[in-house]
Amino acid sequence: MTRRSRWALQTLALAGVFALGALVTRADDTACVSCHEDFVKKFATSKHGMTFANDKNYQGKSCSDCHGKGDDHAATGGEGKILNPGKAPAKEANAACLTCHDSNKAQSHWKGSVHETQGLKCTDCHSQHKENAVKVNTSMPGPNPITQKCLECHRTEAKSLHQRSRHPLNEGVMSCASCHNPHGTAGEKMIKKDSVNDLCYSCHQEKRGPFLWEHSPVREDCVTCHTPHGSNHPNLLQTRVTQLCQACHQQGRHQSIPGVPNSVWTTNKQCVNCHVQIHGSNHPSGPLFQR
Amino acid sequence: MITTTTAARLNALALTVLLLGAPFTRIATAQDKEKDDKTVSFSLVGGGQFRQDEKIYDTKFQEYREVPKGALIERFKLDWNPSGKPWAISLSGRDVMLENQSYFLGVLRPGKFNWKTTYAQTPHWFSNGATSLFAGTPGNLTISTQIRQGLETAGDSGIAALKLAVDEALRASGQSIDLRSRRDVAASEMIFKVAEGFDLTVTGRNEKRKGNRALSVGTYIRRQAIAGEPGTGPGFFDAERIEPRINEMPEPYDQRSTDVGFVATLSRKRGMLSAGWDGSWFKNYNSTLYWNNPFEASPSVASSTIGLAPSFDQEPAAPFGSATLRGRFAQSAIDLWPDNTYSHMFLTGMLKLGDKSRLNATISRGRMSQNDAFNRYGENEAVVFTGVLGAPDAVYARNAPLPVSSLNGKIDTTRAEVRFTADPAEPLRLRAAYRLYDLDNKTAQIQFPGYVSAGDSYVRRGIGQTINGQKALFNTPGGYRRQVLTGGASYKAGTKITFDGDFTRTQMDYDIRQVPKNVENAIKVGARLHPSQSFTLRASYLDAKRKYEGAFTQGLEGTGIRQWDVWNRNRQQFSADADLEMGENWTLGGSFIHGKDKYPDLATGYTQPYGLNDTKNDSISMNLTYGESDWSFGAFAGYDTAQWNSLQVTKTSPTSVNNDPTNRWSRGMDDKTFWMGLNLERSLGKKTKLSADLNWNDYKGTWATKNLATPSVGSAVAYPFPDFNETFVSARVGITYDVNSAIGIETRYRYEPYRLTDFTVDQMQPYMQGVYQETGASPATLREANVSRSLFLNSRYSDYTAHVLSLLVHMRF
Repeated sequence: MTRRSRWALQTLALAGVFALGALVTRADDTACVSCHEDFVKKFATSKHGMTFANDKNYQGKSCSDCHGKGDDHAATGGEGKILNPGKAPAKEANAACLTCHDSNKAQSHWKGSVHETQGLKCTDCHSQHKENAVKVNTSMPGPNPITQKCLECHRTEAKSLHQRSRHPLNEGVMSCASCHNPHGTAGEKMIKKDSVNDLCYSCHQEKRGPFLWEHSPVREDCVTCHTPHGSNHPNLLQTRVTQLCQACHQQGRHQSIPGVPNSVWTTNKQCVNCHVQIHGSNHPSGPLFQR
Repeated sequence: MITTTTAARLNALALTVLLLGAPFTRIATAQDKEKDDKTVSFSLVGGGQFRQDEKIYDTKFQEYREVPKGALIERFKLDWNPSGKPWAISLSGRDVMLENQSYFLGVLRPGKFNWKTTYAQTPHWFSNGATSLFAGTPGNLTISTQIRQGLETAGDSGIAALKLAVDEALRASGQSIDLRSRRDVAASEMIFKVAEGFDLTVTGRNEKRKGNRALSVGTYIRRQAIAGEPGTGPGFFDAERIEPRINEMPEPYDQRSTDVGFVATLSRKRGMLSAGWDGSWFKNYNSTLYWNNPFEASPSVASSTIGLAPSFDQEPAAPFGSATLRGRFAQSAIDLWPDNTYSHMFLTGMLKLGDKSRLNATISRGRMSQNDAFNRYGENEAVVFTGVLGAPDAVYARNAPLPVSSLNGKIDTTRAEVRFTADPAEPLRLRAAYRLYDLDNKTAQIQFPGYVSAGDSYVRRGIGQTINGQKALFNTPGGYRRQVLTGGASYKAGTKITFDGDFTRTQMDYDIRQVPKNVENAIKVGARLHPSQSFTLRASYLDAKRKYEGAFTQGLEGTGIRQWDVWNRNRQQFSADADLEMGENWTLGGSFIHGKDKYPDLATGYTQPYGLNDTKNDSISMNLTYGESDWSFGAFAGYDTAQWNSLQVTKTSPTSVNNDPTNRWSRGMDDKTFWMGLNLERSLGKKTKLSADLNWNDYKGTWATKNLATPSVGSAVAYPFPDFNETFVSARVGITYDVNSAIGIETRYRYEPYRLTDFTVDQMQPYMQGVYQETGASPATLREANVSRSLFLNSRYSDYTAHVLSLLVHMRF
């Protein structure tokens, strides 16, 4: 057999497989449509539906690829005769999604992640049949749907949307997924970058440095002083500036006094009134983070 | 930056287009109805808005958004997926032409590529009621010589005269300024599917940030002999008269950052391999802020006769500092953020080891670089002198040659992680991971002959560092290495309960911190109870002990204080949460968290645990949801507390009274926050829908400072601080009536009151007059620096009450 003939045969065989797949798809979907017409129609406009219809790597996929064989279900109409990921146990339900998504970069750390360990299901957050992958229940303008979904479980973070200082999540500019990958990451706390500081620098590039005069706790971990989810204190600080600084600095003089309400040590930016380059100074005369 | 007026004009135009276009949506809808399959869908919400706010300081109300008066297009969305065509386009936008407008464009070709592009503006309003004496250009703030000369002369006559002079200057020359900035970010991501399981991703991001915010520079002067005023002590902090000078001014923002990235990902049934590089360039077009001293017009006093001893790093002029050499400068400069670059590459992979195990590994390397030219030592022209004791040839000057012209700073980061997960047998799951993050600061050490503080007329030798017994000034670049080793297991005992256990060992190795190393061992155990399909309970307990190894070096902090982020710590945390599904539609959830940190042990040679002491936090929250086809309801509420406690001692000079226990005092911060929310979506008949939501946050905080005994110095006296209070309410209700399938009319009302009580800003005025009080030698008498010679911008949040009524048209076809 010549090389050209071999190519032709392989191509024909491949086309045959695709054609068969398409027939099977139609046959399966036809069976499903008879009872679930709305679902099948909506599914066609979803990202999944478009991918199944147009990506040659996924053509031939049908309802049964996620829900299992539906012959018994179609015959009896019984719910238990078919896999419904929304109601099935997590391991079984997620296996249907991971058939395709397991090796994706975004989901490759799902196994062993906090959410997986806690028994979450893909369907707890995602709606596979609809246009919008994340499902929420409000029509009012506000936080990104991803944020709303996260807050359903992370209830203590709900307060942070309206605290004294916060990131712009309530306006939808950022979402929880701006910093975290809910499917798991190589790092801690499901953050998307190599470290907390590397994550913060991705928007606050000016604080990246290096600086001539470095402030070690700043360089090591932004959350030494800041609480990124929201704070009752200005600038996402864990507590007021004076308290924060005096937790480490008591060298003498103004660093060690309790202060009075109208003093420069307790007013406005407090210690940062003077030590304004507290994240690091690059001035030859700035060893005290000021000039 | 688009002005509000321009935005309103553009919005009016947009509204006109919207209203004129409305009839066409009818036509389009009718046409669509004739076709069975829609390939284009478009929706738009726009209309008009009335807004009333009762305070001029509504900065907080519009902190990250613009709430316009007049026409607006709230959002729109266009989806185009031609029937039979293998691609789809999506275009959407929010808050069109407003300060916080954002847009998204996506083109999807399944199996070929996915391209997403966004443009978003994010305003940040710090204050819209600031007042400043400064004029000039961004980066070069000036005040006329006449004004400064007037204030300098008045200042020499005492506080009362200066107060009057500043008030008059503000009345005559003060300018109202808005302190706000805006980030404009354009970002794009393109994922190409090169072949089955092989993707290439290209990302790009460009950010422009312009505007300004409040920035202050502080110094202080020592005045010991102004006629009729107190403060003539022997030069130490507890017994002399110090006048701090805080000058607040608008810091100009004109910054750009550009990020690009490339990632190649290979996915196979057995695993995944991904490699990439990303780079980032930050550019600041205002690298220095030059500014005139509002209180001084003369360039200080020449200091050529100062005897500056190499072994002494405090201010010269015997015996206790000179009244004339501090804070007396006509102009100064502050260094703003230097340009920097970042380069980062990574390799990450996942390998399935049979059906039940997998290995994840990641390695990455990053480099941060910065090489901006240094500024000169100072701007004060009086800083020129020679004749240093022991160094007769040394010449100190504000513009003396620097040892190097720039830092050439480099920091390398290395991250490596390996993670293994396995399901060896059905009820048992195992996991183990090792993680390394190394930050290597390769910046060279530079020794400087001294430095010139903004407020000084002389050069200081240093801040306490020494070389060969002589005072010296040099930077101390340092890094750290963080290693985390984790092992854990889950065991499923039957179908209703799963136990989890993890051990984590975290080791920090420091180059230049107070300790060379600390190690934390943490054990976390938990259980998940799932007795029925409708009920889940999760609970966990964490016990973590951190201990430093090696010697604890206090460095310059010679008072036994324990740097809390490296000191020994015992941490305990308990958390539990539960979800109960009640019937088909109701779900009830709740959570509880309790945590406490204790900092045991004392610094060597000290009998008091100075520094941060025990902290504690508790949180409880509940939520209730109801959902069915034509209405949904959600409610949540929570309450939490956070306590932060420290023990301090007022250090005084001479050193014989250092750490006198009578001068100890404690400080406690106690924050209490209550929050709740409601949301409701309810169909009222076939065409009408009611939407409503409510958010309420209430915060109370204390800043309690107490003496533990009667102090022996006035500066250790603890005075009461007022409490903090903050209340935020946002209530919205809207009714939407669908005229037909294409048009709906919505009326929406928002009520948003905000109340803030915060003494740190409430007492601020452009000029901080009226708080001058320090005198005497009695411990009961206040002896502390005040803010009598500061000039703030009056930048702050304040109360507001906003009412917003919106009339919106929803169109869709």
